[in-house]
Amino acid sequence: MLLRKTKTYGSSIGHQVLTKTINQKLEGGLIIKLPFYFYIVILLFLLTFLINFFYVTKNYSFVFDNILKQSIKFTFFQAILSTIISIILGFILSICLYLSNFKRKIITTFLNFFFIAPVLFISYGVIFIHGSDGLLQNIFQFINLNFSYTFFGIIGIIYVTSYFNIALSANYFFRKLTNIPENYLKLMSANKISLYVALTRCLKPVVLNNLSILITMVLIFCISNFTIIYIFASSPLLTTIEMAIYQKISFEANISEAVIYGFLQTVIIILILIPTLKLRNNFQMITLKVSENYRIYQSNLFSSFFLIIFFLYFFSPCLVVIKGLYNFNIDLLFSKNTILSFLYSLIIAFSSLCIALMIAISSLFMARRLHENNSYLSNYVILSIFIISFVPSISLSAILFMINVHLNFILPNFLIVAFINSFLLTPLIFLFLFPKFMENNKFEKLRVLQFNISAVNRFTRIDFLKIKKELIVVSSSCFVLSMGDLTSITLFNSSSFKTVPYLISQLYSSYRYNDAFFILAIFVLFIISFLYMVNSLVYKNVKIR
Amino acid sequence: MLPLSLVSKEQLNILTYDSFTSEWGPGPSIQKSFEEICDCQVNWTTADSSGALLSRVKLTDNKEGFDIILGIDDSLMSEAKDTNLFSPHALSSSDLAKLNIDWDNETFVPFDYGYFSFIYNSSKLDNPPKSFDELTNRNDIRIIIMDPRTSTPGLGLAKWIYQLKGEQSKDFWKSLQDQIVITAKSWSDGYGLFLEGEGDAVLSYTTSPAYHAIAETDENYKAMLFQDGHAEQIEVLGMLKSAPNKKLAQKFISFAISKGFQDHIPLGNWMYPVIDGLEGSSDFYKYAPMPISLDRVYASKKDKDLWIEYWSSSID
Amino acid sequence: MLKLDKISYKNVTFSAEYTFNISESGIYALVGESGSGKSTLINLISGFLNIHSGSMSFKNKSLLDLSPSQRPISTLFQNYNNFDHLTIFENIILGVDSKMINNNINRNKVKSVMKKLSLEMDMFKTVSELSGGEQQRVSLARCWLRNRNLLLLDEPFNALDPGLRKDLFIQLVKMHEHNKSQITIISSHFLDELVDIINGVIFINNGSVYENKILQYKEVKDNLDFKKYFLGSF
Repeated sequence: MLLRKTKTYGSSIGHQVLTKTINQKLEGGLIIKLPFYFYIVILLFLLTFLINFFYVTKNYSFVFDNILKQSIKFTFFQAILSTIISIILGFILSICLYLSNFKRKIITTFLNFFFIAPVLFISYGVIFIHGSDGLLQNIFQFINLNFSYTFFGIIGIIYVTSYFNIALSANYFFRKLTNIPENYLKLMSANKISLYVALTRCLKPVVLNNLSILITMVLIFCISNFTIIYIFASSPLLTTIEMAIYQKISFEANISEAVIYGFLQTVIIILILIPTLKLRNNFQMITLKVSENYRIYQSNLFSSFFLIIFFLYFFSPCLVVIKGLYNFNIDLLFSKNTILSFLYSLIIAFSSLCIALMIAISSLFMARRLHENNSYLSNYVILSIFIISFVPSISLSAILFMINVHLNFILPNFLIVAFINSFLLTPLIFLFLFPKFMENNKFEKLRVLQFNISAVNRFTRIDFLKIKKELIVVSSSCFVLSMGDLTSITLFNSSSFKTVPYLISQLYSSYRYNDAFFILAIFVLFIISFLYMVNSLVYKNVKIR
Repeated sequence: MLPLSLVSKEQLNILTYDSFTSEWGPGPSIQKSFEEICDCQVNWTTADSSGALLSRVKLTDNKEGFDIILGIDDSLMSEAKDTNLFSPHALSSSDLAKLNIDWDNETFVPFDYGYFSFIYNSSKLDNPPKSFDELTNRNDIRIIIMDPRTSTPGLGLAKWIYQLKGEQSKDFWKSLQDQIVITAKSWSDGYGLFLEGEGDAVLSYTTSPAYHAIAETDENYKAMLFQDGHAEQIEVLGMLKSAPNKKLAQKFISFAISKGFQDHIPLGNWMYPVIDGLEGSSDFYKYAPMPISLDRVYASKKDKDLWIEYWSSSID
Repeated sequence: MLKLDKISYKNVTFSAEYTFNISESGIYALVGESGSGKSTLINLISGFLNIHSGSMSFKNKSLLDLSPSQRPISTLFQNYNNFDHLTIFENIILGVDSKMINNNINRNKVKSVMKKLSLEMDMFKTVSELSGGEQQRVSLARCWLRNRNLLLLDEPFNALDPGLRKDLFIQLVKMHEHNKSQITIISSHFLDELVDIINGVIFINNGSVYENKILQYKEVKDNLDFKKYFLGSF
């Protein structure tokens, strides 16, 4: 469904022959397919539970109640608004960064970090700057400027939600800009094409191609911004479906209504995305000669100005780290609780990453195999990977929890958390690795057939090397993501395992606000150093190659 | 879960809300005192709010095998009783007579209580209002409250207003509306935002200033004391019918109203203990003086729906 | 006319220095092993790469201070010469109007140059609908319309079959007859194909111009180094 014809720019003389169908089919590789089959079984299992919930529910009047209507309206209003804002601003940011003199490595690290920064960190960072007693208000007071504003409500929600999504979309567009074929740049510079004309006409595919994938992702992130709504919704009218689900489960013990709410959200997302999800089975990736170092456009007054604004926007909340470190508390840092929660966070992040990687890579393999065998089913593989990210994670965790109840608690809690996290990470990994994994697949198929390369061999000797660098980058991002925030949306904690976000919320509900900020600061520093390490590893690898 | 045979000691499984068992909450010290006398092991499991506690046992039919639920409040008691999951506490009336509050419920036992109030910073706000009406007339005071649907203090405020205003609750909520700058989802979020400088006053408990004064030596935070009285919240514990270890659970319930447990309540959970004469609690009472109390209400589901209805009809 | 004096270029893996002088207009072949620096030379003259030292002039005017678009140069590559999603009209008019405005004057310009190159089709077809040969002809049409005095072609027709290549060489000659003062440099691995149309050969060997001058076809043919490149070492 999300597959579009990617071969839109550049003449591909000589490649035409490959688009002709090669009837010979590839076979084998059961072991690589297994995790995907396993995933499908889980999916079907969840579906039977869903049907059961429909069956159990006798009275559907709650579907028409005002709270639900209000929350559906607000959910999609804020999500669509912030999707539009963040994609436009992300595009502008990517151009400013493209024109700037910063090294590519620095730019991508910067964008990666802000995409996966813990939501709690950014939220409190924003309050630290823009709150009623925040830095800005204090500065205004100092210079005797009587200007007060409140950051809670829709503005705060959009401001913070956009934070991650601007970084995501800028990253997406920046990648595209740095992948423009070199000859195009030469053609544009030789004919003195202005940046505006270049972007609106010559590079239109760069801007628009596969935009639906970006829109899908951003929209999903905007819809599932539970923590942000939790903190910034100043009025009970600003409530989302996820919040309503949370209420249903936590306070009314009504799982079946909660699950049906979740189902409703899923259906609405699919309805919204239908226009962008064109089922096309005609995609092909060709390695382009790209132009990482060739630059024809220079930064100008506008782009520098915008860049400064963007940097202020992104970096100002980071000042909260200073506040956190100011409350340095060595006893707390080395207390059993803190160390344990860091350990548990690492374990959870690691296990959810492993599960997600297995499912994602397996389904990539599956999608490519089906595509290479000219089966229309490949689109459904992709759909099956994405559909679970449309389901609110709270509903998901509720269903899993109930399954566990029926299984007499066979699954340890941490495994449930790991599974929920991994379901949300899988589409991300899938999308990130997709272009590299599909690269040259038609050529490869010929070689695989000719030299009789086994599926496992192809996977370990060819695919793995191809995606290695991307794999490290996306793994580190997903690791951090699942350490940071995803766990906080699990409904039923048990004290047998505490994650860092859990520790922070515990500190928070025990009046220990300063300590909470301190742990938050340490957590963020930990994440930054982790990402830095991974990044230098990746770039070291590149040099060796 | 480990097979029980591997562990020699008897196990007591308690479900509670998360701040109770945190390192800084009363949980760890209470566990220590109880384990000294019971020769058993206490296992805590937590849910993220007191509302979620009841939901959890309701959803699972206590298949997780908890003995005790600790931390649901008086507003949930009748609902909890209706689930038929709880068994009577079996304390004698003489045991209950030792408490410093009147208590005659057969299922649940109180372990602490508090009064809802608005907390303000006295270095920023002088001349605090002395009644609800005065509060609504002071348009300069911006307040943070909690959503009654997702937070017990939020529900507490709805009850408080209903107790004082009755049928006029809706109008009263309307007159308060302009001053509400944030309706937080939970107490901890609302309180955190208040400390960050949002709002001039926050819905909390009369005991909150004691935390700031004793743990942080900051005496600026004070509770608004209203002459028309404050609504009460009582936190209770109860034994589950399907408790695997009823005997031990029974023992814990008796323990909960003894000194070994209650000693840790004032400076651990920052609420009023249910027995008097605890050592070292004089400072606590100094910073958290008892307010004028309104009559106790045992809310039914219908009552709560009514309170919430008054609130929600005022916000459209 | 085109004079390069010790134009040098260095990067991590490659360094080159070019000196030669073309004094007459005409078509010149640029030959040499793969990786010897043919494309680098074209990129240096067009201004896509910055030189380290040396001087370069065309008609006694230094090229070095000029940006790629200011230089009297049109360039054509092996691929990605056209924006596939744009129309033939847009891709051709690009050479003289960077805003690609669709008006009568521009349409007439494109029409006449398309006619000269026997591109007989709707000018508002997108380029991706064309065959490989037609696509290169569109690029050539752009260069023609641009009418600059230096035309640099970097292995332009390599991906086409011999018949199409021959056809395009004919178009090239046509173009030359139209603008007599033009210098065309065409890089290729197939010197024999060009023999009828070229006025001289620039032979690149290890990052420099062989003997720093333009050779005649016969000289090259007999040259030992060239034979080695052309026939392989024995």
